[in-house]
Amino acid sequence: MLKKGISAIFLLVAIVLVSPGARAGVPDWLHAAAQQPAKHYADDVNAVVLLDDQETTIRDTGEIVTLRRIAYRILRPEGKTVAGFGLGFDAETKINYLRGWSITVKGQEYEAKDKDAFERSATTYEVYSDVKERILIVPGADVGTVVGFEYEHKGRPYIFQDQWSFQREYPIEHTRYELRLPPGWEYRADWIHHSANEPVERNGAYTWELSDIPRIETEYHRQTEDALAGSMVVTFFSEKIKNQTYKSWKDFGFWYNQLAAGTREPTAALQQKVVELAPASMSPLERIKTLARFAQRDIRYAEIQIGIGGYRPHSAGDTFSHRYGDCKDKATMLGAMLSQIGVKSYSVLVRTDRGVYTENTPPSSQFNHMIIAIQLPEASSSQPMPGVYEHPKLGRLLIFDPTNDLVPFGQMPFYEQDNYGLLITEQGGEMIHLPISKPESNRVTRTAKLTLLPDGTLKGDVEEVRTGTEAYKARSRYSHQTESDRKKALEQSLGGSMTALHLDSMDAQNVDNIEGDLVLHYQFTAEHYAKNAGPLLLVRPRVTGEKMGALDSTKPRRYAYQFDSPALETDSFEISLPEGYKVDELPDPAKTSLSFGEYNSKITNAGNVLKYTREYKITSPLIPAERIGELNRFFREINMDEKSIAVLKRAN
Amino acid sequence: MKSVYLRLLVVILGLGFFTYGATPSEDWLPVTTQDLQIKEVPGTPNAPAIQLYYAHYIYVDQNEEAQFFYCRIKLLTDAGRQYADVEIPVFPGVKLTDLQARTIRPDGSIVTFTGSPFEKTLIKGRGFKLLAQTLTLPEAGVGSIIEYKYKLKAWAFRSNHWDVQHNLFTVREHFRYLSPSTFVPVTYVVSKSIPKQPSKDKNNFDLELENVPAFEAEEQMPPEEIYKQVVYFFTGYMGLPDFFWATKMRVMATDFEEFIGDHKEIRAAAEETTRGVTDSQEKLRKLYARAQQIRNLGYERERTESERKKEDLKPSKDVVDVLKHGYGFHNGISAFFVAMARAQGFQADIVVAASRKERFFQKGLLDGSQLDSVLTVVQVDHKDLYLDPGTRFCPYGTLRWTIAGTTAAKLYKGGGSFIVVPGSGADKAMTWRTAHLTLAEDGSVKGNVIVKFEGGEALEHRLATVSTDEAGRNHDMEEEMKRWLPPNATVKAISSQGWDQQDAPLIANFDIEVPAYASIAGKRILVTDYLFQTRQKEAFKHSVRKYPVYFPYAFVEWDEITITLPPGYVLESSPERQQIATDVGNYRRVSEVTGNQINMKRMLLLSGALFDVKIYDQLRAFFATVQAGDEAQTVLQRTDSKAAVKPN
Repeated sequence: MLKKGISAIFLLVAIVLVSPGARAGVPDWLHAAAQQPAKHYADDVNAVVLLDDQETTIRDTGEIVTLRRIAYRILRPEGKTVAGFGLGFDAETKINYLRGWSITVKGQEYEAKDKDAFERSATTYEVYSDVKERILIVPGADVGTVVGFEYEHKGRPYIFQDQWSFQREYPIEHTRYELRLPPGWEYRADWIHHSANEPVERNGAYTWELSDIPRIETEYHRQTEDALAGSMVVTFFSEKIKNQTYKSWKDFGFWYNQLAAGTREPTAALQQKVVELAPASMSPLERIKTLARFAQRDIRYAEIQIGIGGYRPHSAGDTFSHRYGDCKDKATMLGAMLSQIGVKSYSVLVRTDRGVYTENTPPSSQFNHMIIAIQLPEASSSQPMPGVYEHPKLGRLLIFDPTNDLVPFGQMPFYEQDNYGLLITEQGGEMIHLPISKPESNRVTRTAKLTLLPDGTLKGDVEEVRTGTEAYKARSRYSHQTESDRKKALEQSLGGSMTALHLDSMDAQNVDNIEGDLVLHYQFTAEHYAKNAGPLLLVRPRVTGEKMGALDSTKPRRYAYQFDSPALETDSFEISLPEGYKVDELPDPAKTSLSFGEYNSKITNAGNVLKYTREYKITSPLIPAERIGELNRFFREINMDEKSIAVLKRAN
Repeated sequence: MKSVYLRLLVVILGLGFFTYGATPSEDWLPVTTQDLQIKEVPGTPNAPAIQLYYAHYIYVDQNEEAQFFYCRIKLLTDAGRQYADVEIPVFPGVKLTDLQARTIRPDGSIVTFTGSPFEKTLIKGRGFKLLAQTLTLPEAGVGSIIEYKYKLKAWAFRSNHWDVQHNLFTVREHFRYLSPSTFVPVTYVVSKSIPKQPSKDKNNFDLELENVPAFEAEEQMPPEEIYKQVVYFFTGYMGLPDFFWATKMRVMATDFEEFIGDHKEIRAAAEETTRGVTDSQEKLRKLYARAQQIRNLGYERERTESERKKEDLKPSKDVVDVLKHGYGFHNGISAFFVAMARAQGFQADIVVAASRKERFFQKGLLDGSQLDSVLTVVQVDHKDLYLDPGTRFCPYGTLRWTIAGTTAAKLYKGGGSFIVVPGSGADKAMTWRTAHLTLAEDGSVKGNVIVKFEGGEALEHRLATVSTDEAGRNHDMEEEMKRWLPPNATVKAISSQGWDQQDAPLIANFDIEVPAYASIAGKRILVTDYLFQTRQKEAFKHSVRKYPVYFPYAFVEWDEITITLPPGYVLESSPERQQIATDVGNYRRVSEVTGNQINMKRMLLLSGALFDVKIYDQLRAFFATVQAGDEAQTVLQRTDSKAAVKPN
């Protein structure tokens, strides 16, 4: 369901093929926008939206028609991309027309019409999707040019909702949303990341207007744009579409239940497979786990999306017989299988970008993924599982993602943790706060026994044990790599902080056995690791495992900083010193404890062995913008410690 | 006479009723026990899949062409299951037919694909339509074999090559090229790495190979194309390399000579440009500068017909038009310069080089587009001087790395001949960096860095930022400086100059700060004298290498770093002076502490661009020494007994 941007190759082809353009007939609204006095913006603002005007009309038949006019001024060469406008459609929606114009600084005017547009498949990762994108490119795109587009679009027939997205990557000078409803129809407006505004009502139309909306800026590790940008969700109601729209998440659940009705019906073959895979002789939890594993590993991910197929899953029987399906197909088939062993389960809709949905988000359809909540038997309560959600009525629900085949039963992918999901039951929908794992569940434990030679060469063995999210992230890389690629990747990673590194051996265990800890063992030799300085030998006790994050401290931080998940990393490195050398001076220990995490390290010397130990812990994955100063200090302390040097001296 | 008629009859009949020769079978292959038992790629544990069989047959007729493809792939890991999603691009004028697909389960039973493929629109508009047929195979789990075959039919010749090497290891491959024996002669060329030549019978070719390794690219390698196994076919007399290139050069020479001509307007312009100048070198410089004043449309965005009309941009039919219009593209400006030089009595010619940016020239590969970069050669004082007026910002006497040292066609009236464009030495691409920094007691450094690019380095930076503005240039420069510095550094570009002055160096000035730059150990501070990262270290992280190492060009880096120390510290030890000179490059570093300052100087010279894999170890050892030298530290000790200050 994710939409990809216009590829550079496509744009190149399109620009080469673009038509000469017809005689310009620039509309008055674009002339007016172009005549607005230019405002001053930061020198990295590529373009500004002068006007974004949207009129949504609901016809009594329930048809939703949107007329939109948008005007940009190109401020920098990088802003020329605004001269290409893409609009999605499929078999159920329709673009009535799409036109574009431009007015250059010299006053030259250009027009591009429907016939000048190009079409392409809007997404690339599915086997097939009927979602296409119509793209119109207007000529004359230079700095200072004002470009404008106008289109009329007919919306999806079974979603009675509209969204006014008034904040994006470019600043917006003026934006307007007008709603026209037929008699007997009502609406509800819900605001996201913006205070609620009341509309002006005139001649049966409701109008909202906003000015000078700042852009969403790019920052390291910020949340996705949809988690930060302002918008207004408008939902429509009428007796004519009763039960086809939603006032609440509960209603949304009912709406989805109607849509997916019947898809969990089992077939004889599916029933037979359940008997075969999970006989009654197994414990209840083992049966659940076996079926979950089947859906996770034996059903290949493949998406075929046609019209409503973007929302409604294929039937469980089809998914089972083909042995492929997308997220909702897999969840639905697993639900059907579980029901065969008497286990209840519920679909859960999520957005894989954390932060888009919160407890305050109004009912809206911005989900892009489906997982499943499995009602666990009482007997399983003794088993600790980070992915369990304690529901006040339904009891222990295991949140399980059958699409992600690298996360073990009982755990959740990091992007679903601390996120919100819509639990869909017979009683409708319920937005739930999905559990978050503890740092101790996501560990990297690194131990090394190393030997330092007098010429500065360091050699020895390292073992890394990863669990939870840390294991998942490593498996995501390893599962697509041959052994040779894994070795190269490790050389690449270690080579960042070691010179002339030779990887003598490498072995990764439990890459496919996702229930086990992921263990990486390797041996290396690094020449010139320690530096000779007269009688001194300078050695960095922190040999590997850089943990410092990236922050741009040249400008104030606007948004929260996001880690993937809580984590706990511990390192223990022992370095045997070369004969004839003794420790002359050691760096101070590091110790920092902040609201979101801790870092401490220590270097000791016992006999001829230098021992470096440290612990890095992240307890909260989201650091609010007002705490960025603390995060900066945290990273600085880590950086200082990671670079610290022990001074060895040659005995005379 | 009778026999002549008979031969003619045979030819006519042959044209009408030729046969392809032995048409190979296009049936499904039997599934062997070996196919079912195979579990991994020999020598490549954890490979996602293995291609058990690949076939590509090309059938050429008088008016059309058909191709047959067959892929049998065994899925070895979960990641390999992606091969069960099949997408076949179908270009305009091509029809996909006879598509069949099936899955062979691990037990040997077969699930036939019974659905219809989906038609996916890759791009469609204004009569152009590029589609793909997609399908996904059922029951394609680990251990399964998927296979599919299809035909592509086209009304004209489209394909002239066999892709012998793939992204997967291939157990067995079969290629055929079948064209009528009465057809014009067909020749072929194979890439160097192919272990076996195709067999030939008149115009039919056949190649069977086993155990073809997957192609795996390496970082910093020469263009991949020359290392991939491919067989190209060429038809007709144009399939003879000498004939092909002679014809190509003759056509290019004729076109350029017509464009250059001999015009009084050009003579007048050349005269005006060189008025009062007697020295031939100086004259040529003036003419070169004049040519580069022409607005170079090649560096502007593509314009539509309506834009060209409104902006009154007309095509140039000859060099007089270039002069009159005051604008042109690369080739037009080059021709204009040649015309101006000839008008002043110089022997000046057009040279068309094969750029080495994306590929290396192969004479046997009869693709005229290999000669893609126009430059000029002028004889001055009995020496050939190569100049590139068509490349914006290219200084007089400098050639861009993409054409330096490459094969080229030197054109003369009625033809041309192959030459090699002179290469450029390290002195043609220099980077100077001067840093004045102050070390704080907490180990951070702060100060100013001035970077000066000369020659090819300046040219590349100018070209890379040609389509952005001042803010974009500053951003790019800041990002480049950040890549040279430790990861936590902050960088602010203060000023830059020389972006439009092609003969002057490009100079940029930065304020930088690096927290925790120096390490604190008790009463000592350990300072790495060399501020920057060794730029080339990324290319040498791997101990094993398969392909040559390829840098775009030879270069020199000159660095001077001055670090002012905090009061109260004395020198305990300073890194030793280092100087190495090898076949691959030279490196020199020296640092000393004078008063309260560390003064460090460093020079790194890379002597060439392409390094054979045989000397990879030597090259790697050289850069390991460079990196070790760059990371050497000065040790300072506090004069009193207190420990150094840690940051808050």
